[in-house]
Amino acid sequence: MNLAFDIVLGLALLLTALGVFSSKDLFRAVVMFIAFGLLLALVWVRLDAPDLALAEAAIGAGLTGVLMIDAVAHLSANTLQNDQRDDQYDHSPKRPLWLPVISCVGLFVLLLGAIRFRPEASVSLPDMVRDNIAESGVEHPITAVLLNFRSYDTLLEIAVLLVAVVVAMALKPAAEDRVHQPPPAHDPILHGLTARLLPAMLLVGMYVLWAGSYMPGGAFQGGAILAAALVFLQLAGFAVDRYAASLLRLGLALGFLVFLTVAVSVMIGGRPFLTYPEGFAGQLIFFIEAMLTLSIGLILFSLFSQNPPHSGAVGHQGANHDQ
Amino acid sequence: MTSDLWFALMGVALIALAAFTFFRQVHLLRRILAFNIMGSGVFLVMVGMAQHQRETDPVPQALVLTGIVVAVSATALALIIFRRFYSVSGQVELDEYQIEEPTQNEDHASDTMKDNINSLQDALQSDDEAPAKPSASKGDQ
Repeated sequence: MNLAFDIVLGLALLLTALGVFSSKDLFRAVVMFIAFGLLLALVWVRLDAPDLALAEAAIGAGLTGVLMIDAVAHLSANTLQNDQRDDQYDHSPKRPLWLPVISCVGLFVLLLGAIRFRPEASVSLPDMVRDNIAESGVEHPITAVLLNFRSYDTLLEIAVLLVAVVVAMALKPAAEDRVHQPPPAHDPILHGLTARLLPAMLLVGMYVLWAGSYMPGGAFQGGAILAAALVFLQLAGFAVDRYAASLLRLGLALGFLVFLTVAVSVMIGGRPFLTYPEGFAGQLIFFIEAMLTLSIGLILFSLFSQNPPHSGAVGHQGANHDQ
Repeated sequence: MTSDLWFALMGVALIALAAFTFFRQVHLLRRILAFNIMGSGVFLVMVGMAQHQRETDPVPQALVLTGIVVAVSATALALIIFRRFYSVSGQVELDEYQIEEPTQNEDHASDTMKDNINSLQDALQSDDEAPAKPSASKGDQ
């Protein structure tokens, strides 16, 4: 019974992906992509990975979807005056078909072969995690892996995010064209709803962060919820950008700096890089996670708000006109 | 067949299909979409194969969690670069394909190209004026 559900779910995933690839209309492809992300979140639940389901629903479907819709709206707002150029873009050029077909079929066969003739695992990672989880300072195995056993990954990840947002800031057009941009349309219902929803969203974000030490949840999911709350604020017309100069920039680097400071300062006691002292691991991990949540939320939001502005409401109308 | 293996196989199919779309499409936004789906396929293979005929494994799940966050930041950065490219050049695809454009209106195409080159040069000289230029030239056509 469960397998039947999984087969249907997998086929639905494949069909939505086909919908993304084959739909002529770009907006439609993006909507299919969001549906794909939500189905993928269900797949993670079926694969017994609730952390991934949380992250996929908030980040893969939510944030990426918002970013893609924003880009499509930007595109159609700017190509409205010359439509005949627009549909010329959507056709594939007259290039030979056999090259992509051969390479993709070859890739498929090679990957199937890799799965069929995989080597046997020499160590059992779940057993190792279970044996050492008592020393890690947290009870949830995924948080233990992320913040203790493989904390290098997380340190480098937050560094990658920081680099991405710095590059995004460097690519931003000069700031003065933001000044004469008309204020976004003020929707009283969205405005009021956001003002009432925001405390609940922040509470959920904090709860998910706190829950990460003993059940599914943690810094990434909490950060994604924080970023969603900020994106919501921005879309509802609150001037989040006003604080960008001081507060956001401090917060962007905070997670990485705190993590690196902790990682280096344990070396004073003679321990190797990134090895927490016994007894303090739990507190240190929670402290780092809290800072990471703040930074991840602000970085993801900045990656959204650094986009060059497209004159407000025109973009969204443009997306509708295209249909 | 376990459902872990089934989802890993779906991941393989997603990777192959996304690779095909990535080669075939020239629109940069569609390529970014295909790239994202390819990443999701890789994640499915990682988690599915690690848990096939074994218990739930937190290590690949943690790696994939990191991967999802890095993927969204890479996507956001790609979109920002795409918009910058679009506002400077007015194109949604890279120049290597422009040669194969239909040539029924030769002079029009060359005008557009000249405009693009001009706006690119302007962008190089003074970064501030660049976003205004391409839209002005588009309005003239």
